[in-house]
Amino acid sequence: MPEPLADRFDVASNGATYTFRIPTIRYDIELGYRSAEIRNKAYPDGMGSMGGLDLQALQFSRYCAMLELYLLKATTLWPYGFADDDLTKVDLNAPPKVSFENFPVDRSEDVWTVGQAFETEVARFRRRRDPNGAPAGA
Amino acid sequence: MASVVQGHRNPFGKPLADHTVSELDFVLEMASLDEPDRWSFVRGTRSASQTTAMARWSDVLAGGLFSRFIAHTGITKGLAAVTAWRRRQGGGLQPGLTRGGKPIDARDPD
Repeated sequence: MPEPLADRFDVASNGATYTFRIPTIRYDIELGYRSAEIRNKAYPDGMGSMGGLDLQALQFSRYCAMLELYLLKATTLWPYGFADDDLTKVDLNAPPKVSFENFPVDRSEDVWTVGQAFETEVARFRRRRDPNGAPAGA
Repeated sequence: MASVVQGHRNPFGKPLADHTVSELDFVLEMASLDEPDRWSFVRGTRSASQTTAMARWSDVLAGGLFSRFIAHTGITKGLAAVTAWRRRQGGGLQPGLTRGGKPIDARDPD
């Protein structure tokens, strides 16, 4: 599919490939609400607020929200709450669900690297088209 | 409810509120065994069929993991079919058959 018509993009990180849906104009808003919801779930006393949060907590909740909202496909199982060699533990009666609460703790670094790569890609799509140069996303 | 599912009215049947959940489950399960094309019974909170859930899983996995998943589900389905076949051979309840596996009409009326 030509890139201007594509509705998804791939991000490679630590030997795995993650396919994300290209966000729409609602990106900032839906990401903001979902990350607040994640902070609220992870620490209910804070009520999702950004006040008093350090940048690391804020950014991590945003990266978790990115995975929950936009991940379509992956070559690894951890976003769905399983280790790659845990294929036999997958409950075939329940559909897959990306939830930060199921991310294995040893994948925290992956959340950071994938989230940063996702942001870089999104920045490319948000850049205005330049009629004299390469189109956005190229 | 049970009589509606079974397609007849039982004048001696209990009102719906007098049935326990287990009794209702049993009636519904038997009805789904009798008429699988018309009724389906899913125990517990499983809302999606296994086929649907497996299709969703195959949608979200890619690369070598997808190949492993397909192999795994193929083996799982095969094992499930063998288990079901063994259960049938073991004389479980089947539509139109007694517990012993004989046709209901062939039973001795005495």
